[in-house]
Amino acid sequence: VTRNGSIAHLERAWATPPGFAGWLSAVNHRVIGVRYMVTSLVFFAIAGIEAAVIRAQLAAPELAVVGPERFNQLFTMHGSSMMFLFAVPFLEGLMIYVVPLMIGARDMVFPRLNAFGYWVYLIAGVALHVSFFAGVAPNAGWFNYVPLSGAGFSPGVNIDFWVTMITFLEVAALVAAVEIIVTIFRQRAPGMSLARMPIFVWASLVTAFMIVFAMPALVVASLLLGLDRLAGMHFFNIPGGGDPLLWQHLFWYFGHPDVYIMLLPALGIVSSIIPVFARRSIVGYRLHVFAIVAIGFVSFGLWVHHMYAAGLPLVGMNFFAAASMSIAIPSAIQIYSWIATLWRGAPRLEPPLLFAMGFLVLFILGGITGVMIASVPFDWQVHDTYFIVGHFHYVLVGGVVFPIFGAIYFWFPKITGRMPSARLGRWHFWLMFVGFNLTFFPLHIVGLQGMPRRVYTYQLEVDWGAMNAVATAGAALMALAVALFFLNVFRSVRRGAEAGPDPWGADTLEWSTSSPPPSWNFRMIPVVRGRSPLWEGPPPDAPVPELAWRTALAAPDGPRRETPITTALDAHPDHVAHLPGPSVWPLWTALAVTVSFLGALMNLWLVPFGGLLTGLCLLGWHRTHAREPLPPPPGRSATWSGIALFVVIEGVAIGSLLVSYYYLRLGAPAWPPTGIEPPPLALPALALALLLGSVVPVAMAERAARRGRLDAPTRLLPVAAAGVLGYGVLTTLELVRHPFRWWANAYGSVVFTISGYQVLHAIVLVLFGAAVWASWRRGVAARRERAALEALALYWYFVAGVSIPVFATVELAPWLL
Amino acid sequence: VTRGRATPSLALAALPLLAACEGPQRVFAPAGPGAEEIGRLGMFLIVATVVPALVVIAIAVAAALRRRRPPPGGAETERRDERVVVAAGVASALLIGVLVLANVWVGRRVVAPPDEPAFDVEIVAHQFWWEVRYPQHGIASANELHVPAGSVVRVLLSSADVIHSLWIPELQGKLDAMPGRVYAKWLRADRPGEYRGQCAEFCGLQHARMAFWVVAHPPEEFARFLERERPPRAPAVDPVHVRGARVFAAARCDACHAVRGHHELEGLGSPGPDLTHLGSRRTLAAGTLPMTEEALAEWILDPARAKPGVRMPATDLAPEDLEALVTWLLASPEGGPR
Repeated sequence: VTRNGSIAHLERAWATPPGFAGWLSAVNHRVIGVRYMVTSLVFFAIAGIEAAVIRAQLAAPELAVVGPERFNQLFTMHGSSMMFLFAVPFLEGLMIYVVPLMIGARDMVFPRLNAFGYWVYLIAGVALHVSFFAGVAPNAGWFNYVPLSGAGFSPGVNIDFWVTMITFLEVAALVAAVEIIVTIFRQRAPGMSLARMPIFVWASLVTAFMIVFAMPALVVASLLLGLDRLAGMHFFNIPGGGDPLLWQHLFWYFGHPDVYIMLLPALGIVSSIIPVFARRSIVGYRLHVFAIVAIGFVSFGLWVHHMYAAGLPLVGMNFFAAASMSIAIPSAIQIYSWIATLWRGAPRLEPPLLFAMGFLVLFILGGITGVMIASVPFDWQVHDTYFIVGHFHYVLVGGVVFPIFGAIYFWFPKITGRMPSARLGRWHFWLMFVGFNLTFFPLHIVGLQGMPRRVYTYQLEVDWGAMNAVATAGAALMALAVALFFLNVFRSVRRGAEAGPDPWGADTLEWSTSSPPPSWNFRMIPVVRGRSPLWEGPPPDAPVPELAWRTALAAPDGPRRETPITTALDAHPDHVAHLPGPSVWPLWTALAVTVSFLGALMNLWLVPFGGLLTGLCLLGWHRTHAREPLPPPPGRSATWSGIALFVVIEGVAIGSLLVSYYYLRLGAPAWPPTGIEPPPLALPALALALLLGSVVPVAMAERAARRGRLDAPTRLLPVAAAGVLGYGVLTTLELVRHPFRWWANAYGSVVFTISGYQVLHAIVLVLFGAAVWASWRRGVAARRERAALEALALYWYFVAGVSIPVFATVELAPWLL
Repeated sequence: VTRGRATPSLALAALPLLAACEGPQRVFAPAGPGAEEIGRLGMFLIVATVVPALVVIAIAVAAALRRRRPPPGGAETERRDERVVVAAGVASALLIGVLVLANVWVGRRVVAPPDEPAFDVEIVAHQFWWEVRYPQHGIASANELHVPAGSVVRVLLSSADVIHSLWIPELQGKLDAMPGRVYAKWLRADRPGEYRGQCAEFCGLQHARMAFWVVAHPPEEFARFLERERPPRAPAVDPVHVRGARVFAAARCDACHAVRGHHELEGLGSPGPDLTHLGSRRTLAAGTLPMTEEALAEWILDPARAKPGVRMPATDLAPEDLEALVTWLLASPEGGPR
């Protein structure tokens, strides 16, 4: 095979098929990343227009630009869109685009999952906006406090749209998080140990873990709200024994980390921009890593600061206040480090650095108001006022949107191959900076003058007109700035100067390949020797004789999507994996899941029907991945890592459900409610024994396969499946035997939901097991399907493992507590 | 209450000062010990964070504007720079520690009432008005709470429907009105005056028109308030009043509204405000309209015109009936004109 022949192989292997069908089947990370970013910018523009209408309505007292109903839809949509449809997806898109390039990978580890996530995001975003243009958009705020958002006070379809579409969207976020984590852990170029990862990659990693630990709580919260609204359950319904405060705990347990899910990638962006434009490496790399990880942890201990006025005990709230104030410390350390980097460097004030500097100023101001409102008594005054609106716009616009603009100017040459106009960029920055402060600084003042949030108008007597007028004028300036930004993008994409591989003289690997990069990113997989590969040592493409497989990957003898898989900590080469290629199945699967989610708005039977369709689509998805038989990897496969993360996600979800059980139990005068006996234990205990027993044949099958006894799993898996089937059937029987149903009271709701979840697990295990069994029996699969068997086994252990706390909670707790 | 016009440039120059001198429901214009403690804490938090923040911003801007060649950074400078960053971080942590202590200190003082409550009042929040009851005095009213200046009053707060939040910035921080729960909070106004507040938790379509007043009277004036509000309404004598009272029943106003002495509703959480002494209140529909005959007539005919989303249905009363009803409702309790 000639060298040119090998290039042709690479081209054929990594190309996206032509035409519309090819467009629908694209899976390459850069294509998906750009789609995320472009789509999210469209939603950004729409949500910005919503903000402009809000500002127009509030420009003076007693205006009637829109009525109260439309106003409530506008602020609900503005908040939901900016967070769920713009900031998080944009940053995910950026991470999906940049991270593989930064770590020297050819694509992400689950390319089809990536495409699936994008389609889910697109469908959910469009559906939400259809509801808006149909006049039935969600109207109870992005936080949807019950009982206002319950069926009693919001009987329309508005909130149903929010509940189903936001849950659906979280699927996309979780998928992206799994993808990012496994990619970072298993696909770093040889030599890029954790301590050599760019800070942006660290930020992406921690962000993705935060998504994994936070978003399932939102999924559970909105699921419970959906069950209350659509299936007549009582989780949050006071007369039925539910509790509205449970919603607030679940929502903010997710909601506060969500702020940092947006902020951390932004901090990573700033840490990428500042060293490049200060022309020196960052001061205190380890401090940044420490700060990012610390923020990730502490952000899960702050949620009660959204509930200071909800009547909780002061002593408990003081702990949350201390944690909320302390989270400023790691951020402050990062700020000092950036300043030190600039001080020691020779800064060039190009647009990316301008936006990073704007970020610094605004983030400091938003940070100090954050410290103020972390104080319990002070928050009793300013909570739910425009002071808070001012604060979080400084943090989210100053702290996230400014870095996002900086990131666009910074990576635009890499993505498009052309330079953005620096002159328009400067105009954009200064208009944005002045407009932003004009809009949001006065909101602090009007908040201290007593203006609450979410009012559609205000009376003349309260004297808030002047500050509001200034804010509205500032908003007009911001709109102009954003218009200039879009103009810059449209012009520069077509007529910008050629960028070349590395227009900024940057230090990370993405700048070592052409702009835009070829579809396989790197012909020669780079070998990394430091934190700033392009600033130190020999260029990463220099031949490294000890790694013979690198040459093989650079000059493949056939069209295959090959990528090295490395070890998690030190990035030692482990094995070469074949990535799946383009496919329309991710789109079909996304549409099948849509049947479940949108179907829930029409007829609850469409939910299992969509589930069935999804299962069928997944079969198609995996059968069309024609892999070459490869020797089984010596370590864990990437699939196993993915399933491990999925198990964590489900663990958080089940944990949220169990916490909800005990929360409701603690608030109930009698548990089970008077008239209901505690459940008899015989049947559930037998079911539990069957499930735990089924673990044995699974473990035996896994061991046998590893030792090369390839016929054993075919015999053992049916035995295990029988055990799980027994568990599912007995659990269902137990539910049917209960003298109450889920609509009876909160006890019934929580028992049926948790047990029903376990029945669903049993069904999934049986189907998953059957699929693995079938492929195993076909024999040809034996060598390469061990990964699937191991993944199945891991999931099996998880389901069996959670059945113990589930049993202790649903069956034992009514007797013991 | 004094009012002035703010100029934007002044606004940008002096946030706390400006906030302290504008409008009728200000955080930094305390008229009671609760708001006063919090106001002092707030000023401390602002000064203690704004000053260091401005210094850091100035250094950051200076660092970005420095024009020099990058020096050859050795491992030695690297370590020194890191030490400076860590030292600054430690200084920030110490400052945060002080703020945490201040927060705990003030929190305890704000929660405990400065002396024994003189009496209890029950406030039940509704979409979109406030039910106010004085159980010790047998008085029911809406959207305004009358208290003697200088005395602590204990508020028992709850909600009849969704979550609302009671907030009178010049007296106290806010507390949510939570359905299914009763929370206690104390209030004390040190000076006689009218203190405005409004619902601070988004509660639906008319969250914006849910104002509330605390009216603090000198003690002897408060006694006169009790005298005026306590007695039920005298039987109607004037033929117009008789007709108005009849319309009140015929138009089914009495399904939701009580007029003590004429038509009672049992217990807390009545569907509509008590109208016994409607004429003595400051505003109509929680600050939506002035308490005048014209406004009340307009309101009864079509409440949703002024307050779309309000629970009260429209009526189609004949002009004479409407006039009689309005006259009777606004009449003083003894039966005389307002």
